[in-house]
Amino acid sequence: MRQYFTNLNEKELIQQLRQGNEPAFRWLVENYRNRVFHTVLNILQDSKEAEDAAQETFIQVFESVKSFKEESSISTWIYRIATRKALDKIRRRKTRQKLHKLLPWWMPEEKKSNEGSFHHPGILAENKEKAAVLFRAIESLPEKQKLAFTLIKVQGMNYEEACAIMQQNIKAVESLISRAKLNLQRELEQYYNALK
Amino acid sequence: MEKRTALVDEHLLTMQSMEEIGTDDFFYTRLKARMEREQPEQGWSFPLKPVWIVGTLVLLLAVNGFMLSQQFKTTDTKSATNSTSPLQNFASSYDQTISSSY
Repeated sequence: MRQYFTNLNEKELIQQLRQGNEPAFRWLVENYRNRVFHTVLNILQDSKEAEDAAQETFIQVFESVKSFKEESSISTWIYRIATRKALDKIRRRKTRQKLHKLLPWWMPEEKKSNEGSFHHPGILAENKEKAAVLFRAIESLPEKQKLAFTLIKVQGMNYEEACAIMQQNIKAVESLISRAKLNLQRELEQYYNALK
Repeated sequence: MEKRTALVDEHLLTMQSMEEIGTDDFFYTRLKARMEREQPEQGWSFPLKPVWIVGTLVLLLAVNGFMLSQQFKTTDTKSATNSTSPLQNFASSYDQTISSSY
């Protein structure tokens, strides 16, 4: 069965998905789950939230495949949904953190989630500390800069793919990356100066 | 630019050896279970989204306001037609009006 779906072209696969074919949906999930999880993990820097966002991505794919206009490839569409879900989670997290600052006795578990740095499970042990410092700095970036920098510089996606996912032109994404790098440089300098 | 962001570039080198981290093999099972759990109920239930709740409250307030304004209008017209003074009304309600039976 796996081989059958592998041999289908994208249009045929979309057709099967629109008809509610469960094996086709399962094939899609199995084929994309790791890439989607990896992407949202890099953005969210939290495994539990990343699993949740990955699930929400595929639920959205299942529910809205009928309205998918096929203006982009299915993989770009899936990544776009995934990045939106991850950004939504970040916005909600920020709201919770603001509420926690106002009412510290409320949502005590929020305090725990804010503490500590993110150690990416896919990074070599000897690089983990340095990577954690960079991830902490990335957290402070504005939303669009964070997304562009994570997709291109952290995940190693090419500019074309990232532009398609972010629905931005290449100049805009290049500008986001250069501003992100300057902001990160400032953030890292502050971090190391504070340690001295 | 390269020199201005040297620290960032140095840290980015740690990302070059990053492995792709995926989910475990039971991801689809968990996803399917969640989709079944979150399936919308067949029967009608009151929409609990804030927009619906606020909308309903605004509608109720509007109906209330309209009813009150209608009530004021009718009492105004009533008081206009009953030109007797409140004291006379009070007296008549207790059958204390002066009447002669000559």
